[in-house]
Order: sequence, then structure tokens, then C-alpha cells
Amino acid sequence: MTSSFIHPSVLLIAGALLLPFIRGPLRKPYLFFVPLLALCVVVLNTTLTGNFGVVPFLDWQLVLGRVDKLSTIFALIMALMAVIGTLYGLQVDRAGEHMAAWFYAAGSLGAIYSGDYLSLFLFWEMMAFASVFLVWFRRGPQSLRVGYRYLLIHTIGGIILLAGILLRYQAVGNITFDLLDVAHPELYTWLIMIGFGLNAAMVPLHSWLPEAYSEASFNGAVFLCAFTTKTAVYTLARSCAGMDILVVLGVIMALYGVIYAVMENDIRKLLAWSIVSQVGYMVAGIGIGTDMAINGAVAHAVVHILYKSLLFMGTGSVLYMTGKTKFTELGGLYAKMPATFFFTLIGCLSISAAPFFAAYASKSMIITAGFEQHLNWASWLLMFGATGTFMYNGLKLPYFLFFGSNNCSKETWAKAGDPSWNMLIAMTLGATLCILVGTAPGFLYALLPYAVDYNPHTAYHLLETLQLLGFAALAFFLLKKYVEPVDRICLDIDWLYRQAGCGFLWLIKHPLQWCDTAWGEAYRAVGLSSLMTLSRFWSWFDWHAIDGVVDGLARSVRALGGKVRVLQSGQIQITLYYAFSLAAALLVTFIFYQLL
Amino acid sequence: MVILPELVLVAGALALFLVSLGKTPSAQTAKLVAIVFGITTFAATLLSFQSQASLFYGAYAVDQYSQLFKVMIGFSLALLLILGQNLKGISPNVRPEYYLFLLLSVLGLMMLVSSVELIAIFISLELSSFALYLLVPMRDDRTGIRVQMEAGMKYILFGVMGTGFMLYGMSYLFGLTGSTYLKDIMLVLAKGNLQPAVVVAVLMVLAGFFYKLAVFPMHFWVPDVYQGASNETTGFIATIPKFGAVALLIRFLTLPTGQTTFLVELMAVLALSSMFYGNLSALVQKDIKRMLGFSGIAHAGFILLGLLSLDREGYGVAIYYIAGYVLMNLACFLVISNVSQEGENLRIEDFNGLYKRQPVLAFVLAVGLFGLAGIPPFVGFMGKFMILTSALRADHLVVVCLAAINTAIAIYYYLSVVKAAYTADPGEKPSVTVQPIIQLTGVVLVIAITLLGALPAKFVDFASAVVQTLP
Amino acid sequence: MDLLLIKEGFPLLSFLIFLPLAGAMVLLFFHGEAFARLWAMMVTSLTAVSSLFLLTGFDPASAKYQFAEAYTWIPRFHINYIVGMDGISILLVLLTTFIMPFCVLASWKYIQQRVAPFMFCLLIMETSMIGVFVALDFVLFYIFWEFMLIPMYLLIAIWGGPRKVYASIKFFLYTLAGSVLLLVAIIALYLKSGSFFIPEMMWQPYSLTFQVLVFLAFFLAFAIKVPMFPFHTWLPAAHVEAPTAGSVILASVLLKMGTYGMLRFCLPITPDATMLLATPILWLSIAGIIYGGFTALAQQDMKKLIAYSSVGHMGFVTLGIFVLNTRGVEGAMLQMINHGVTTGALFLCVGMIYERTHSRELALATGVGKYMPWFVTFLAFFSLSSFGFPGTNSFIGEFLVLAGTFEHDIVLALAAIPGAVLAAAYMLRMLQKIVWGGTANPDQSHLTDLGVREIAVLAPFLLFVFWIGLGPQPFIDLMHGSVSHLLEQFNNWQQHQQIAAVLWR
Repeated sequence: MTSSFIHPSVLLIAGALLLPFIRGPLRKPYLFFVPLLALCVVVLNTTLTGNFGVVPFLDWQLVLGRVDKLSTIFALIMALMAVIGTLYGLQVDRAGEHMAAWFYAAGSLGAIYSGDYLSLFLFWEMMAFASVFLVWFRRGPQSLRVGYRYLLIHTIGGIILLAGILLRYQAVGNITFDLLDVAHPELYTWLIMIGFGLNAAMVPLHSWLPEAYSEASFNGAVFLCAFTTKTAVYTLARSCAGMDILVVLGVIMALYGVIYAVMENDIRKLLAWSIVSQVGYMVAGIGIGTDMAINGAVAHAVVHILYKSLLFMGTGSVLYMTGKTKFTELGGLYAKMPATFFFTLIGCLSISAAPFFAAYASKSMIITAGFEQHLNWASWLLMFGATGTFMYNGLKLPYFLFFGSNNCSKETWAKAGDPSWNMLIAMTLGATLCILVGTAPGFLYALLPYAVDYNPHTAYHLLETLQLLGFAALAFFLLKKYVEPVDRICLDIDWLYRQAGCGFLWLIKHPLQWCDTAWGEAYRAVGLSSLMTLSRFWSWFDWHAIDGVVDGLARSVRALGGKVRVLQSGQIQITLYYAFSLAAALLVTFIFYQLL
Repeated sequence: MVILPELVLVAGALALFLVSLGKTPSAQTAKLVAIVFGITTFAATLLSFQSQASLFYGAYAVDQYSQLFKVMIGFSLALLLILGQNLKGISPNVRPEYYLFLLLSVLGLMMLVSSVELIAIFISLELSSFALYLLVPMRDDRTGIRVQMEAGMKYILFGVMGTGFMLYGMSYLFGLTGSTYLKDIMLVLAKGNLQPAVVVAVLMVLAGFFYKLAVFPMHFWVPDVYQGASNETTGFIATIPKFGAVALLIRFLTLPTGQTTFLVELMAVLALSSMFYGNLSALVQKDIKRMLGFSGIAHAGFILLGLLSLDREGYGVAIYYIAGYVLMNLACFLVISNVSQEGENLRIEDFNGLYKRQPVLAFVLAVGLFGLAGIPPFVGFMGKFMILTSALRADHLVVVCLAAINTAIAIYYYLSVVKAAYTADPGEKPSVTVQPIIQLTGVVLVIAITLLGALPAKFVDFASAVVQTLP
Repeated sequence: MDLLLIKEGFPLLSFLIFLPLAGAMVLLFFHGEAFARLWAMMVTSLTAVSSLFLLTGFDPASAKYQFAEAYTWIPRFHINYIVGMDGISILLVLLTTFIMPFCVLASWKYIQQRVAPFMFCLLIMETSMIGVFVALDFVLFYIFWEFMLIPMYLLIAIWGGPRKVYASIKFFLYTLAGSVLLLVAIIALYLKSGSFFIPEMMWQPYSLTFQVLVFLAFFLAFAIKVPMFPFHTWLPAAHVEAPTAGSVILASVLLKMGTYGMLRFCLPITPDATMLLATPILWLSIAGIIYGGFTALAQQDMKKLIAYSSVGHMGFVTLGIFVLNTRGVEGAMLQMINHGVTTGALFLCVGMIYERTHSRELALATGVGKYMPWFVTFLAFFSLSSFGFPGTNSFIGEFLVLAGTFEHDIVLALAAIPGAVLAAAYMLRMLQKIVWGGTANPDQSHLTDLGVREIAVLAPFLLFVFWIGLGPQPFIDLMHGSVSHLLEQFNNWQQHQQIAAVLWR
């Protein structure tokens, strides 16, 4: 049975290693073929259940292929993403970029399939190090520094995770990767949770995400938005389900993301922030921990990958064609790039859980699960967040990008236009899936880890959603002349906050704003400058203090020699005097010796 | 022919005397005669190696002990004459006399190691010493300030002081025991009821030999004489007389004094002071001979450390050490006296880039210095190791630790010479040309230093066995 | 002598020791440059190949000293020529024999004047290094241990960089000063146990004070060689000035002798003192790990950076040794090999850059990635391995060490973790600068990528990086027998001591 399990990561890695040698016309088919193969393999694996690829390693058992419903669904969507993403980036001919992306995907797939902490950690690091290249390959002025910081933070996260793993091994005595005893959390529980949470961009460990994703190359972002955070969600769902703290963190993330998304001017940053908020939903779901909540989280992860990648593809096309990512430099593009506009719109509707669009099927599951657990506050806040999502993502993004005032400069306008065929195909793929999932969620539910008795298409739910959306839409269009991005951004929020009450407004505006910048600064500082100053000090200390002692010792001995030599004055009478007196001294000592 | 070596030396001296009588004494013949007799002496020592006899009313003992030393002396003499054959520092017209006195001094040493009677000891010692005193000022005056005269004066004055000590001690011994024969003295002393005076006596006698061996505080003459004498002379002073000193030190230390602990502690103190004094002052020397002089003081301290245990084991090791020490010093002086262009003193930077100017000599020098520094596998290490072992067996832990630290101090100045020879750039220094025979001698020395260090078992066993035969 | 498995027939170990020496002797008489290179290559390769027979004949199960040879040498002092090899030394011997050919290759172009003497020194080095690892007589060990200083000194002092004189003399003085007391300790042990045969010195009931003194003497010598913080300052100096081959030997083999010594001598000969002093040494290792990381991060000179990183890595080794459990010690052993492979390779890489840019300044080597793709590929893998990236050799080593440390003391292990982060930081910094550099890169377009010879030099290292990283089992198996036997004896000793204490009370 084991033989029939084929590890998709192996395919991807092998493919990546061969890639540089496949040149010319063969390149594109090859690029398309390998991820597809991986996808097929994953599909084949869905027929299996159980542990495969068990390798004895030192005195541990590595489980490279743990196949169950939870891992299967994540593996499926990741493999699918690999296909879509590669397709989207097909015309990139830098082999390195594809290799990085594939290693990245391989890492995530490996992490999902791995049944023990050791191999999990291996693939975990692989992801971190592969993904950073996607940032570096943009070759922007910022890219290097941002990427370096991104890598540092992830290494730290990895180390924390490793510490947790080792501690757990210490306490439990095995390395099987399974649900932790969240009821009685130990130190290692926290460490592992933090290690995963950092990859899930948990507030306050989130700052790496917006800056890195907005710096990534146009197709790199498509990969980034899918793998890291969602793999983290998987690991959390696997190990920390039902950990109450996660609910709180999740809710915070959801709202936090919304607020910053609303205030954002850079479209890709906006999307990055919205990842934070969306992942917040999943984390909250995992925190709630009931079957339904987990289902919701998983389902939301899946659909989120779909529409978020769709959105990143849309904005990516804009970036790719125009090279601009700021609202203030774009606008009114619907005329030039209609197809892009169309797909982006679908993405927007999906993310804002419009009926018959993707998130409609999943987000509500989490919220309902919340109500069922009588976590009303959480659920209400999440709902409120959903409204915000619609505000910035369903309306603001498409409106100011494709309609609104046209801020395009001449050449930007000239460059604008629909991207090449493969990108369009990729987007079509994503869009169809979004709608498919939204309208007929059945097959998605079938894949979920637990049995689902939940139907989103109830009259009540439909009505509720429409009310929310309608209300938000109304507000937006009434006030859209104030909602112009950038400088007047505060007005926009003011209005938003009046709904929620001024205290909340103040709370959010000042401390959180401050906190976030502080965190950003902290990363920057910790990441480089302070570390460098510290290390410079130590190296100075090394040369001057420690080495000073060593050399100083040697020198002083030599100086002592100089002193002693003075005894050896050339004058015979003096030396004779020395000799005699010393001899005499010896005799005297002898006599004393006798007396004593 | 039990005293064949001595006779050969006498003959050699006479021959050289004849050579010196000539109107224009030819340096060449003098050299040849000297070398021939030197080698013959070595052969003679080998011939008479097994012979046993007691001559001159028992004042002169030819036994394994003495013969062992004679062989070593003969060997070193032959090597010395070969490697120092150019005598750059000595003006040609006094060379016959130079060799004459050299041989006489060696003769004195040969007699010294055989003498077992106080007067005989004294006479032979003086014979060797005075011949030696004369060698020092024979250097031709290049500096114009006649530094060699000054050196000679110092040497004599110090020598006189040392001799004074020794005579005084000997008189005590005679007074205490009524005999000048060592074995009688030993018998009387062995009877017990010893006064403290015995120790004073022994100490004073020892002081005489400490002076020869350059042990603190009788070492003050060393640097100046080393520096003042010509390179070849220094090579002689630094090596062969030490044999006599050690031989006699051992003879006298076998005398029972009744104050062993005091004697031991005293010698420990002297050994340590010699090491520290020698090594510390050597650190800052510029003149290579002066540096070697100080290093000699330090090594004398080490030999003393070997004698410290006051048992046969230690004596054997000490003999091994001095043999090794002489070999290494000969190697160094071989290089010095041949690198020096016309017999001038060498500063350390004069060795710069020697590896380019004369690779063989550079190699010999490196081996010699690393040996002196006590780096394995050379004889210096084995000697150091065995001496430390025997000293620690007599549990002088502190002394041993300090001695070990001294080796760490010493490495610096040896290394600085190697550094000059191997890493520094020769600049416009002239290349060095040496006769192949001298190069061969150098190689022989290197092999000897390495082999004696790698396979010391035979020698040490023999030396210890020989020491057993002492009364 | 039942500890020895006397080798009948061909004396393999002696052959390994003296073959390079004989080769060196030949170089004394033939000075041709081309000949010297080829000859050294031949000799070292022959040694490497014949060292493979060690593997075939080695029995991992037995903890005895195998391939042993014993001849009397200086009976008066009970000094014998005894060599033998167990699971602790076999890997190190193989590492040595296999590093050397690459050192020769690496110096093929690098050394242009006085080739024959250079190769002479290399061969002498090999002899003494192998000797140190297989000597079972303490005097023999000490002779090799000290003698090594001379060729190494010459390597640095003659073919070294601008400050070679300072560096070489510092190296010589420092290490020699460290090991003089070792000699005294050896003699003291001999006087107690009546033999220089190392196994007979082990597990003897020495008094605690004696043990502590001996231990301190050992520790000083070995800690300087390792080098442990704060005895490490000779290392950067020496590494920076040494020629490539010198740095490789220094990093790959010489440093291991310190840790080898601790494992071979400190634990079994002075167990009580080890127990007594383990904790401070562990913390010293931690300090070394973190300190090395910080200082490495600040370096502008690539060689110096790697040198300081060695301080950190060797900190992991000492950490693993003194946690005194199987996992830790095996991790430490493995880490020795890993460090030998990885750091050696890194120095080779730096050497290759140096041959092209004639500078080791990081700033002058920025952005070569564009022109030397092969080079940066190798460099990337070795850097990853250097900070223990999963799947590479160092990860296994450090993981085992950390696991062992967690068994021993959690606080300690947590304290070690920032070191790992720092390792990542400085290695990535170097990698990022070299591959991409900043906005103001010097013009590197004149650079040529690695030639076949250089790739041939680096490839085997890469092979081992991944072999140990993915399939460490065979390596562990080689050492497991001896290590577990050692620790077993150690624990028996503990219990025996405790029982004795109880009874005594």
C-alpha cells in the first residue's frame, strides 16, 4: 500500500532541479506539466488514508505521508494553487523564480503531509527559505532589505517552533504531530503555537506580511498569499484546535486587518492586510474548535486561497502591465483592461461573502459556529468585520481601481491593457472555481474533515447578508466623494467609526496605530540596526578587551625581560658584587636554616 | 693505552706548537693538523672506550663514566673543528696558537672527567680554563674598542672567583676528612656525624662548577664573554666545557652531606632562578650569541633540575640532556660561524631570508633552535620531558610547573630567529657559501638531534647504567 | 592490554602515519614545482584511499581499540609505541585523510612560490594529525600534538597574508603555552598509574583534588585548541592570515583535536572532576555560541566571519560533549565532522573568491552572483549547512546536541537557541551580500566562474553535506558502540562513586 503513495513534493523538487536544463520551446510546457502532475498525484492520494512513507531516522519514526481528510483537502487546494500560480507566471523566464516557487509549494505540501514534528520542521524551513526568493526576485530597491528581514523573522519563528518541539519531545517522548493537550497548555504548547502563529501572521507577529507581500514580484505574490499563512492555519487546526486564546487573537486579527485595509492606499498592501483579517476568521474558527467551526475554518482557508489568489492575479496584472500599485496613480482602468476588471470584481465579491460567491459558503459557517458556542461577542465582531471587508474590498478596491477619478499618468495609461493569455486563463480558472464553490458548495463540504449539516442558502442567511451588504454599499456610495484614498482617509474612518462609537474610534486610531508602527519599527530595529550595533560592540570588545589581555600578557612578560636584563650591566665589578653577595646570601640562609 | 685520547691531544698540541714556530705560520696546515687530530682524538676515545684503569696512585680513574664523557667530548671536538674550520674571527698568524690552546683546553677537560682526587681535579680544571681564557682575546680587533680584551678580562676575573670558591671548599673537605681522594672522603663522610660545614664545603666546590655551567648566580660572565669572543670560540665555550662541569657536578653530588633537603631546595631555587633569569633576559636580546648565552643559562637551570632528584635516574637523564644540548648548540654555532661574513657578530636580523641565501643552513638552524625550545621530536623535548619526569617523581610539583612555564616563555626568542630565517625578506643581504663538508656536518647534526630525540632509550639506559658504576 | 585488538599482518595505521612523512622526505630532494604538486597529490590520495580499508576492517560493535599496534619504545619510562582506533577516532582519521587531497588541490594555483616546501609542510601536517588521533600512548600523543605546531607555524608564517608574522607567532605561543601544563599533567598521571598507556590511565581512583588539577591542565590545553571562548582570539588572527589550505586544515582538523582530547581524556581519566566542572563549561560553551554569533555578524572580512562562526559551532560541540548523554555526545561527534566538512568548504569558497578579487573584504565581493552562478550555488548550500538548515549535515548535529541538552537541562538549551538565530543572521548576511550585494556593487564583470578543478574540489563536500544531512545513520553507527560504551562506563563510575560515598558515610 505504501508504494501507491507518491509524495508530490518529491515531484516538485525533482522538477525544480531539472528546470534549469529545460530550455527553449520545451520550457513552457514543462512549466505547466510538472505542477499538473503534482496535482494529479495529490488527487490519486485522496483515495488513501493512513500513514505512508514511514522512515526510521536515528531513533525516530518520520512519517512523510499522513493522509486523512484534513491533510487531503489542504493538499488538494495547495496543489491546485501551484498549477494556477505557475500558469499565471508562465511568461516569466527566470528559471530561478519558478524553482523557488516550486520549492515553496513543495515545502507547504510536505508540511501538510508530514505526520511528525521533525519532517514538519524540515519542510517548514524549506518554505521560509524558498519564499524569500520570491521577494528578492522583484529586485526592487527595497526587496533585499525586506526579504532579509522577512527571512530573519521566519528563522526566529522556526527556532521557537524547534524549541517547542524539543521541549515537547522532552516531556512526551515522541515526535508525532498531533492535537496538543490545549486544555492544560505547557510551555511547549505555547512555543509551538507561537511558532505556527507567526507564520499565520497573528497580531502582533504580523508585520512581516504586508511589507513582504507588497514587495513580492507580481507572480510571487500569488504564491505567497496562498501557502505560508494557510499552511500555518492547517498546522494550527491540526495541533491547537479549541485553544481559547485563538478566538481572541482571531477576532483581533479580523478587525485589525480590516482597519488597515480601509486606510491603505497601495492595492497590494490592501490585499495583504485583508489576508491578515481573513486568516483571523480561520484562526477564530480553530479557536472555537467545534466540528462546524473547524469545517468553517478549513472551508474558508480553501476559498480564501481561491479568491485571494484571484485578487492578487488581478492586481498583479495591473502591476505587471502598468508597473503601478497605488490608487493615487491609477483609476478608471475598466476601459483599458475590462477582463481584468471582471475577474477582480468576482474576486472582490467572493471575499466579501456576497451570495453565490465563494466566501459566502464558508465565512458564515464560522460565525454560526460562534453563535452556537454562545461566543456572541466574537461572532458579532466577526460579522462587523465582514461588513468592513465588503467596504474596502468589495467596493473600494474595484471602484477606485477601475472607475473613480483617473489619476493615471500618460505612459501608465498607454501601458495599461489586458495581460497575456496565460494570465487570463489562470484568472478564469480561479474565477470559475470561486463561483462554483459559492453556488454549489456541496463538493467542498464533502471534502471537509467532519460531516457537514449546514446549508448556506437559507432565506434567512441570504436576507441577512444582503442587508449587511446593501447597507454598507449604500453608505459607501453616499459618501464616496469623501472616501477618496490617501489624505482624506481619516474622514472615511471617522464615518466608519461613528457607527461603532467614538471610544472605539479613539481606541483604534491612536493606540493601535501607534502599536503597529511601533511593531514595524521594532522589527526593523531588531532585524538589523540594533543587532548590528550590538555585534559591532562585541567584535570591538573581542579585539580590544580579550585579545588585549592576551597580547598584553605576552608584552608584559617581554617588558619584564627588559627589566631583568638591566641586572646584566657590563661592568665587571658590579656583576662580581652581585655574584658574591648572592652567594653570601645563600650561606646566610643556610645558617638560618640550621638555627631553625 | 688507557689514556690514548689524552696522549693524542698532547701530540696534537705539540704538532701545532711546531707549526707555530715557523716564520710564516700557515693557517692552512694548522687547520689540517687540528682537524686531523680532532678526528683522531674521537677515534682514540672510541678505541679506549672499554678500558678500565686507575693511574697515578688512584688519582686518575679511567672507568666507563669517564670514558663515556670522553667519547662525547671527542665527538663534539671533531665536529667543532670541522664546522669552525674557517676561523673567520681569528687573524691567520695566530691560528696555530689558537688551535694549540683549544686542544690543551680539551685535554684539561678530558683529564677533568677522569680525575677522582681533589688536586688532580683542580689542576686539570685550571689547565682547561686558562687555555680557554687565552682563546677569548685572540679574536682580531675589528671594533677598535678591543671588546675581546674586556671579555677576556671578565672571563678570567670570574673564573678566578669561581676557582677561589672551589679551592676554599676543597680545603674544607680536606680539613674535615683528612684526605684528598674522593673515595676516602666519601667513606669518612659516610660514617655520619657530619657537621654543617660539609654542606658549605660541597656547596663551594659546586660553585666552581656552577660557574663553568653558568648557573645563577655564577653566570654573570656569560653574555659578555659570549658576545666578546669570536663565534668559533663562543661555540667552544658554549658546548664542550659543560661536559666537564656536569661530570664533576655528578661526582660531587654523590658525596653524602647529611643536609640533602637543604641542598635540594637550594638547587631547586638556583635552577628556577637560572631559568627565569636566562629566559626573561633572552627575550629582549638582539645579538644572537648573547641570546644563546642567556638561553644557555636557562638550560643550565634545566640540567640542575635533573640533578635535583639526587638519584642515579636523574643523573643519567642529566647526562642525556647535556649531550643533546651540546649537539643543538653545535648546530646553532655551525650556522652562526658560517653565516657571519668575516667573523663579525651577528644580530638576529642578519639571518633574514636565510632560507634563500643558504637553505641547508637555514634548515639546520631551525632544527637546532626548535630543539633548544624543546619541541618534539627533537632531543631537546625528550631531555626536557625526562628531566621533568624525574623531578616530579621526586615530587617537586611547583618547580616542575614553573619549569614548564619557562619553556613557554623561551619559545618566543627561538621563534624570532626562525622567523627571521624563514619568513623575512633577504633584502640585499649576500648569499652564503659554505663548503659541502660543513653542510654535511650540519646534516649529521640534524640527524643526530632527531634520532637521539626519537630513540633515546639506548643512550639513557647506558648513561644510567654507567652512573650506577660510580662509587 | 585486552583493550587492544592487535592487528596482525599489515600495520595499516603506522602506514597511514608514516606514508605522508616518507612523501615529505622525498620532497626534500626534489624541488620541481610541478613535481611537488603532483607528488603531494599522489601521496595524499594514496593515504586517503588506503584509509578506506579502515572502514572495511572496522567492527563498530566492539568498543575496543582496533587496528592496534604495540611496540616497546623507551622501556625505562614505560613509553611504548601504541596506536589504535575506536569509534571516536575513526571518523576523524577519515576526515583528515580525505581533507588533505583537497587542500593540495586548493593550493594548486594559490601557492606560486616555494611550492615544494609548502607541500612538505602539508604532508608533515598530515602525519602529525593522523598520529594525534590514533596515538594510544600519551607521550606519543603529546609528541604529535606539539610537533604539529611547527609545520602549521610555517604554513602561516611563510605563505600567509600581510600580518602573517603576528598571527603565526601568536598561534604558536598561545597553543604552546596552553599545552605545557598538559605535559606536566601527563607526567603526573604516569607517576600515579605507572604507565603512559592511555586506557590504563582511565577509570583509576585518583583523589578528587588530583583529578581537578589534571582536568584543569587538560582543559586549558584543549580549550585553547578548540578554541573555547574566551581562549579563542588566536583563531581569527590565524585564519585570516593563513593560506586557504592552511585555513582548511586549521578549521577542519586542528580544532577537532581539542574536542577529541576532551572526549578521549577528560571524561574517562578524570570523571569526578568532569562531573564537578561540567556546568561552568557548559555555560562557557553557551557564551561561546552566542558570542561567536555576535562577533561574526560584525565582521567585514569573510575569513574572519567564518573563523568566528567556528567559535560558535565548536561551542555546540563542547556543549554536546559535556551534557554527558549519548545523544549529546553523538551529536557532538557528528558536529565535529560536519564542521570539518562545511567550514572547510566555506574556506575553500572564500579562497576561490580571493584568487579572483585578491581581497577577502565582503564589500569587495558583493554581487558576484551574477557572474559566478556555480560559485554562489555552492556557497549558498554551504552557508545553509553552516547554520544548520534542515536537510543539511549541521542540522542533524545541532539537533542531536540540542536534544541532548534538553535532556540535561532545559534552561541551558533555551539559552543556546539565540545562537542558532545569530548563525542564520550572519550567514544570510554574507550570502545576501555576495550573491546580490547592494546598490553600489563594484564591477565584477571581469570575474570568471569556477573551473572544473574548483568544482571537482567543492562537489564532494556538497555530497557529504547532504549525505550526512539525509542519511546520518551509517556515521552514527560507526561511533555509537564506542560512545555508548564510554558513557556506560562513566555512569557506572558515577554509581560506584555514590555507593562508595554512601558506604563511607
